Amino acid sequence: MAESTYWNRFWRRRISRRALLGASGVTALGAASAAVVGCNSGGSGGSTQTTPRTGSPVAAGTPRPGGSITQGRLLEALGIDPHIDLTGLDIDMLMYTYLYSWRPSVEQAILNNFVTEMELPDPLHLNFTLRQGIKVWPAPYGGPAAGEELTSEDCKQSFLRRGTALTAPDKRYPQRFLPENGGRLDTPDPYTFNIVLTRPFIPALQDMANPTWAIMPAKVLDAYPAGFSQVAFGSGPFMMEEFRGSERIVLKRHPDFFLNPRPWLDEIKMIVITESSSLLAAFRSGQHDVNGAVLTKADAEDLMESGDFDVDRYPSLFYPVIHLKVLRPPFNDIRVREAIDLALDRDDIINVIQDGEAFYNGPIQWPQVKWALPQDELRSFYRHDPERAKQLLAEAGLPDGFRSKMKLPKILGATFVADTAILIKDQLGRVGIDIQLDEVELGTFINSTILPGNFDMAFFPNLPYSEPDRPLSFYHSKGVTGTGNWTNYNNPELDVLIDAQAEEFDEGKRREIVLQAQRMILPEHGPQLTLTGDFGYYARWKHVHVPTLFADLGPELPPDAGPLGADIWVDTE
Amino acid sequence: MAREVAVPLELEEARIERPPLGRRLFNLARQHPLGVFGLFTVGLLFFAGIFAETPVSIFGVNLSVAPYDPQAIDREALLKGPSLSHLFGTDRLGRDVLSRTIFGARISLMIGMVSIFFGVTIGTFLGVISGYFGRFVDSLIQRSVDVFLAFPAIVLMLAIVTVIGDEDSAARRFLAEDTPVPEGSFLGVPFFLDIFILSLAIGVAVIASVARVTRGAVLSIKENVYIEAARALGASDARIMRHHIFPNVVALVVVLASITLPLAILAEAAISFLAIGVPAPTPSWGADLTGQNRETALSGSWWPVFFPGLALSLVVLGFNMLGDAFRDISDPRLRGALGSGGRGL
Amino acid sequence: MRNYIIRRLMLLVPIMLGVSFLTFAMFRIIPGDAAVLTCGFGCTEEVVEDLRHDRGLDRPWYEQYGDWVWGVVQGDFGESLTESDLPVSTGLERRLPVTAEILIMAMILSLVLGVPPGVLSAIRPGTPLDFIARVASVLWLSIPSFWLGILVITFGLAWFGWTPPQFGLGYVPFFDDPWVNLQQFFFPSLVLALAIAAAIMRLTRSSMLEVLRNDYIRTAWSKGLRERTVVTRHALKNALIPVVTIVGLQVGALIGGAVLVERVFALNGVGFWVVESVIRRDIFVVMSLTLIFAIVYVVANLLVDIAYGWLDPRIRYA
Repeated sequence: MAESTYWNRFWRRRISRRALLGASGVTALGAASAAVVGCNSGGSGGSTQTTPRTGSPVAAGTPRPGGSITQGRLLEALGIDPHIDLTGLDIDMLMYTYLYSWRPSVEQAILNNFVTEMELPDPLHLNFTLRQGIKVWPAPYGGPAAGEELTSEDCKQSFLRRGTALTAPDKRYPQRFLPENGGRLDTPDPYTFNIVLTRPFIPALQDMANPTWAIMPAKVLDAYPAGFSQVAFGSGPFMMEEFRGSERIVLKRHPDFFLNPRPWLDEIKMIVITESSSLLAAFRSGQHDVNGAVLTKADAEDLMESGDFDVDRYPSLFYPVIHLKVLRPPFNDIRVREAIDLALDRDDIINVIQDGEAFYNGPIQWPQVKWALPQDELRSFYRHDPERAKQLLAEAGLPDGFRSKMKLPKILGATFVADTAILIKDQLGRVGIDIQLDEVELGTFINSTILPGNFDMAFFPNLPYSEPDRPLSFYHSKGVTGTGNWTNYNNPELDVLIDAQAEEFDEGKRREIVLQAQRMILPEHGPQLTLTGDFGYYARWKHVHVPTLFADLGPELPPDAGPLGADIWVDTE
Repeated sequence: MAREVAVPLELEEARIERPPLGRRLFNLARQHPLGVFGLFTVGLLFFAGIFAETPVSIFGVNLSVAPYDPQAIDREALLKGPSLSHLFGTDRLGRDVLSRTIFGARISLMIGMVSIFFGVTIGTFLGVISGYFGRFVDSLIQRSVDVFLAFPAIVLMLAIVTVIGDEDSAARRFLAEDTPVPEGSFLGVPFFLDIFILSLAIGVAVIASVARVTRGAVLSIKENVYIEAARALGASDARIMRHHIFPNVVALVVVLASITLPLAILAEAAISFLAIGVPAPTPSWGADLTGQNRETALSGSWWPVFFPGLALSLVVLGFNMLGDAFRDISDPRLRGALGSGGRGL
Repeated sequence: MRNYIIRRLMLLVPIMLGVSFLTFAMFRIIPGDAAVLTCGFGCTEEVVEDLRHDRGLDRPWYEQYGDWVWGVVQGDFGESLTESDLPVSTGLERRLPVTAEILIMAMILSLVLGVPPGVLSAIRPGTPLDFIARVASVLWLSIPSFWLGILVITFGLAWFGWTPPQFGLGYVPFFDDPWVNLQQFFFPSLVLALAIAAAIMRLTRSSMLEVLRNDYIRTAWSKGLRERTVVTRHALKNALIPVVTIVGLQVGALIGGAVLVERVFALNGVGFWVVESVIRRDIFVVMSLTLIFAIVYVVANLLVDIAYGWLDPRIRYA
């Protein structure tokens, strides 16, 4: 599925293991307003596209069984328990069964997995009819439940586990269905699964398609109380043959997958190379069929010119932002915040860091076409006016500017964070704001800097959320963790709006609320200053065919598209 | 009462006429061409490091050794190859590679000098005490040295940088507030305190081996008769150490320092290469060899990676050649060998 | 001799205890622990406390340390705190052979590349061969191994379209496929070995020059022995004594070098693991690894001293 390969790419690219935390709705491409362009379809998107363009044409040729691919991987997979570990989620998507896949451009569930029919009689009830014949992997891969069929009881147990695991991310949805809170998970028969919520929660629909909601056989859950960080027993298209998270992961085809004869591939091999230049070298020399390194535009163009590769460009949902501690001077003065906003030169960032191809981000990133503010509105609001910035600073009593420290995480293999920070420092320096950059190791950064709010200014990429609820929650007084906003921002009016959109079923109305919330946020110039968002590149050798890549952006989604991985095939010589 | 010592006539006549100093140096240089090269390179390092930002006025045109600020972003010239305006090209953020290389010399020099000074003085001190007093003190110090030598240097350095360098650590606060070490930008180096801490970490790694080697030297010096004589005459331990032990150890210490200085520079480059060394935009040679620059090299832009690496290699090469020549000149028997000083356990 | 070896090996115990305790103490001082660092975005105080308790990080220090030591004696090195549930011993099983192989190959290569040129240079002083060897050795001594590694990969790709086979296959153990394995390890070991080979070459040369000046060599010449006999039977053994010393000292440098080379050449050994684990505060991994490094260090030095004794009959160990 498109979003899963996109998912793959995220996990391998501009994030490090720790930055994957708290991800809900981390599936899918954002609905692509901007062009998704492949080498073969020619032309490159301008920067003012607003209409969707279709992605690479459906792969020429017919899929055939057999063959294997080797995929490069930048980050180690520290564990593959979908309910607990975050660095192996892309592998989990290939191994486990999920309720359904999600198509964000039309906000629809694609019922090509466990669920065959879905009914939402009212905002509090979710009723699913399950598919029969989904078999757990054969022995010895399937462990205690080898060869058995998945049932609704497995759904229930998996949901309970996901909802109560200690380090599971984002518990707002589980809070609404856990029996101890008054919710219900009913299993009237083996192929019916009904959820009763205590309060509506619209983002839940998208949530349940993300890799952390894997359905695992209940028998296996009982047999392995220690967890599944190093082992897996699933029912998805590929079986775990070998797992060495910091080195090599080998997956083999599930012979009894319900979409037989798919998956086409016999084997998927992932090789971990933590050194980004070596990773790129491995791809270019042909040892990797699918690229794992972060590509800049120059890299991507270089690859395209050689003619051996298919390179697709897709909108990136990552968005680096500057977080301000709004209760601390001088950031508690809105004039100072506005001055910073005016001193920032977003076009400069686009030109220097993002190779001239990027868009402005508001509180909701630009690829989310349905929810983000229009580009012209953002461009007219986010002006670059250093003179006015200096004026405002003088008015606020800081005619000579001020000094501050900006903390940022050290992410190996992704220098764009440090590079952008250097550029920001340069820009702010011109109006007298002297920023000292402080690079902190990623784990320490998350847990000692951000979460306890131990910073004046912090700069890091927010996760690639593909729905509006999470980006907005940064401005909620409860924050994105649900336990408090680390910037100390508190706006009760805004809180009301954000809460309302999470429970508004009517899409038109929800959109109104979301736009209204964003327009309320902009003039606050904080607590997050959003910058720009650009594109990512997915590269592979020409003999690898991924027919459903980006396909959900246009009308060409094959009606029988399977879950992630099932449709990939290679030319076998 | 003066006594006249008759000097035989032959000896008087045999007094050699020594050529003037300049001629002697010239001959020396001719015999050791590699040493001259080394001297030149090391001299260049010091020159670049010290005078990196000194403006020089030539025919009314203001230049400095480093043509640009190493942090200055030239938006017109992103990742451009070597040209007239940027002799070594620019990196992906438009920063001049030549200037970064020159300031890298300053960083390397600074780190090298601080770490060697710190490591060698403390190491010598420990080695002398250990060798001189022997028995319990010796055992204690040597067993501790064993433990430190058993750690891989990188782990030791990383640990110290992490412990001391962490923002909230008491040690760092002490250094920042109670000592004259400046925390921010100083002498053109962006994060002076952190780089200072890094130097200390490298220095600690040097202490152990220096202590071991000097102990060996002190042990053999101790065997000399004049030490016994001094003690028989009633000299105190401190006096013996000061007048007899230390001067004899000094030559060895100087040799050690000259050997370990390039190693310290390499050590800093290595840990910056692993991205756990100097903080982000600092123009260190090792740091400029990291990640993104390497990737762009694969796509054809070789200059951000090539010049820092070349500079690093040249500097270490220069030190080695200089050290060789120096040893050749001062004691031909020591050519190439460190002696049997550091034998291990 | 046997008593000497036993006495030296007994030194292992206090050193190992010293090293592991020092490491443990260090982690108590370093702010942040693995529970805090792996907690993630959903983290609250209670979750961190729960995690800590789950992993036994809230017990008193003597209990944690004692438990670990007791475990080690039985072969259990604890569990990694960041690589979920992975026993450290499994990690060791996978990674130690890799680093060991790099180190052994580097050692062998450095001797092979260092000793013969050194000998040749000494017996033909002043010739172009000598000059080339000396310049080459200073050259190899100065190029940092990590830069050399990058150059190998960059030019390997650019000129030959070649990248090391482990990029596509992952690590292949020696006994599974010796040829592929050697291909994987040759260049990383070579890159490491070159600097040491240079040092060995220089030392061999100067040491050889010294030995060749001795009277007993002149006696051998005057006996009419062939050059080869003189050199190999009489001179070499004596010349190698200081070389052996240096080799022992290089083990520590080799481990450090392995860290750099492992990353660039994508070989998953213990080198970068220890660095990563310090950064991630994975305390038991670091303690186990420093323990192993200490053992390697002691054993290497012991071997050096034994070789010393074998080479120089004047040295006798009580």
